[in-house]
Amino acid sequence: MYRYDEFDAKIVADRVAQFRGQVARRVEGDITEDEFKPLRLMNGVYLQLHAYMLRVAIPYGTLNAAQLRKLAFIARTYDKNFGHITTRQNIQFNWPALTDIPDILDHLAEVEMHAIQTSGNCIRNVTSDQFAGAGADELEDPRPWCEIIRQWSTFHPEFSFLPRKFKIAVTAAPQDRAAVRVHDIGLHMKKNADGETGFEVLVGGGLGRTPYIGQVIREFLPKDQLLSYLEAILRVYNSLGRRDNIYKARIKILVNELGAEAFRDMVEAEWAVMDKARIDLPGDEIERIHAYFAAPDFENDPDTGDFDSAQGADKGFARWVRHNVRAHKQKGYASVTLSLKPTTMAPGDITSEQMELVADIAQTHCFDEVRTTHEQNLVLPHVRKADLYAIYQKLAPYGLGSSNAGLVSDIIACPGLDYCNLANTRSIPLAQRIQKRFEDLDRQENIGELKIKISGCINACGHHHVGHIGILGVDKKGEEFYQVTLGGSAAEDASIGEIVGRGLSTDEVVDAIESLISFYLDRRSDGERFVDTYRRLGPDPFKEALYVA
Amino acid sequence: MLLKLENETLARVNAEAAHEIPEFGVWQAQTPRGSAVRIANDINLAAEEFDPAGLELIVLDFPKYKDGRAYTQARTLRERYGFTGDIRASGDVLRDQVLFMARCGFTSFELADGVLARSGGVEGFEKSLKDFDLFYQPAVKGTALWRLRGLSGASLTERDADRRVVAAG
Ligand code: SF4
Repeated sequence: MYRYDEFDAKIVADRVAQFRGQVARRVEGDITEDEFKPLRLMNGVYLQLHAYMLRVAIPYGTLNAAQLRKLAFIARTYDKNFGHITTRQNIQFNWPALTDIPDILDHLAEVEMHAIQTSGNCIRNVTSDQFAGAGADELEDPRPWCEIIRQWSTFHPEFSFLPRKFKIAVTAAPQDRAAVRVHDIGLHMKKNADGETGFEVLVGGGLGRTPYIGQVIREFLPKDQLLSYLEAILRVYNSLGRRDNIYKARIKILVNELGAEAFRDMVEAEWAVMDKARIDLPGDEIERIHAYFAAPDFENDPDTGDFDSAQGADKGFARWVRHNVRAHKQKGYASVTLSLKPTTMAPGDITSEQMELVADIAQTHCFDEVRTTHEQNLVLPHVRKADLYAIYQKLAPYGLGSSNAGLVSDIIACPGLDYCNLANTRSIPLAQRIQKRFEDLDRQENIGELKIKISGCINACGHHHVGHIGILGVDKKGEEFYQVTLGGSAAEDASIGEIVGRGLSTDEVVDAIESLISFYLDRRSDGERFVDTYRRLGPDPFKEALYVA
Repeated sequence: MLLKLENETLARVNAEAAHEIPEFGVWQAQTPRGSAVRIANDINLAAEEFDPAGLELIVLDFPKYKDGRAYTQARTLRERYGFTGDIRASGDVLRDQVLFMARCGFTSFELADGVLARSGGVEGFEKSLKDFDLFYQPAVKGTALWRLRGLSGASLTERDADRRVVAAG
């Protein structure tokens, strides 16, 4: 993974010092709350329903053991002993005191971490495939490019006061696990006819109240011209993006008002007159950054030990292997999803003790690497198959052994009314009720891949638009209601879910989900996932099933 | 109240206030054109045929400090149109944005009443101007870090001296 040199370290230290000064000036009253707000937001500090929240950046979801231990320490010392993994692969702490935050930032800086640009109308933490560098299906590791984008976008002087927040995701596998089609800019690494790798560039995807799937504005961008092209896109957006209405300020609205072609022409015109050589990185810097992401020292075809026999002897382990363990590009290795979706905690929450356990395992068994996922889980990217059973046995007592990756109980839920001052409804308790209803693991396994995503309001932080089943909280005369959408997807087959029927009360909603699923089970043909059956049959029969409930 | 950036320091200067300077449309109609113009931030300079010849001062506007269009305008003026005169930031100009402004090519800052007093004076602004001295990306001002990294083998202090050479060159 990337390691700071003295320059990176100095920039982060300077940022902490700057923020410490800004907090002091705010406390003195020299800065108004209105002026302070974007300053704190650009450093990840939100004001929530009950307290300040600090969102810490985990660039493209890659962490080492020392960093995870530091996060555990922060959770224990400054919070209520847990952190929350977000849908942008970051971690947030819900209960720090404002005046402690500069100290927390100092602790983070010790392990090369920060909270820079995790919020605010700037370029946010760039996200990627959680199996980057490990997946058997990828072209190459996309993370060096994520790091290049991270550095370029950090304190970008021209793009720190954009019309609205700006999110970039990069993936390099045909199966899109980074949801690049629902980002402001999605970069999908592909090969051209000459066999060179470059980027397919999509713009204008996004969720929120007006969801859009991103549109391709360039089929193939040579890798070494990435930064100048990004700069051209951002420049057009900064000049022309709407600022009169916060709900129309995202780039998706601009792209759709202008049309993707007109937008692309403007970008290309800007790009054509730009001094690209000044902006794009030279080859030796690109190589320098790539060197940090060299593959770990894998053993050549290591013995798989008790991997096969343990699956025969321990059904729970076999199930975990079926759902949470996936193929690795290196023979004898696998990648593992550690589910943060037991029924006992909010989706994505992780305690200090759990973080420390994962840090130990990563250090001993996984080349000191851990990943966070946009589905709010953790991943151990490179584990020898021979070590898997031992790891599984360590996880279970800590509540990290759930075998539900990708299944009905692996729910994405926004913080909702328990934390968020914009919420109409609670999200976490609903997620837990659905998880309880489908607690039986055989039943979950029979249902197969099913992505349920819950947002407590139209801002769509829980990505309900792209859930196979999406659930949106609405307010009806002061009562909590839930609107169901069906058929969404954030993957390479990205689509926006369709609203089916009227809103459901808190009492009705879990039954309704169950009857949708029963209908699917009745009508599916071989190998079809829920979303496939929905796409084949269309919304009407599902709508009926919903009302039967 | 106007602060002018010269040789890395800010000095108070007296000058015409922004509102006395002709707007873009008025200036375009002038014959001969005057040496100063005020450009609203919804004018997309990329779409204009703009010739800065004869201009000494361009005033750009931040109606609210959160509205960042003038950053792009300033860079476009410097990098695309080669403007070398004074670019002044006017409107909601605050201490915490002054480094971003300077990096995009602004060279003077017109402050609203009372701003300087609650910003620690000129020194406060100068301090914010020096919050960072290393930058990840190129802009009008400030060398990109990757260029410094390219100066092989040097330590932070050694490269500090080199950086000025690179910046000047
Ligand atoms: S979707 Fe709405 S309720 Fe949920 S976190 Fe976002 S703003 Fe809050």
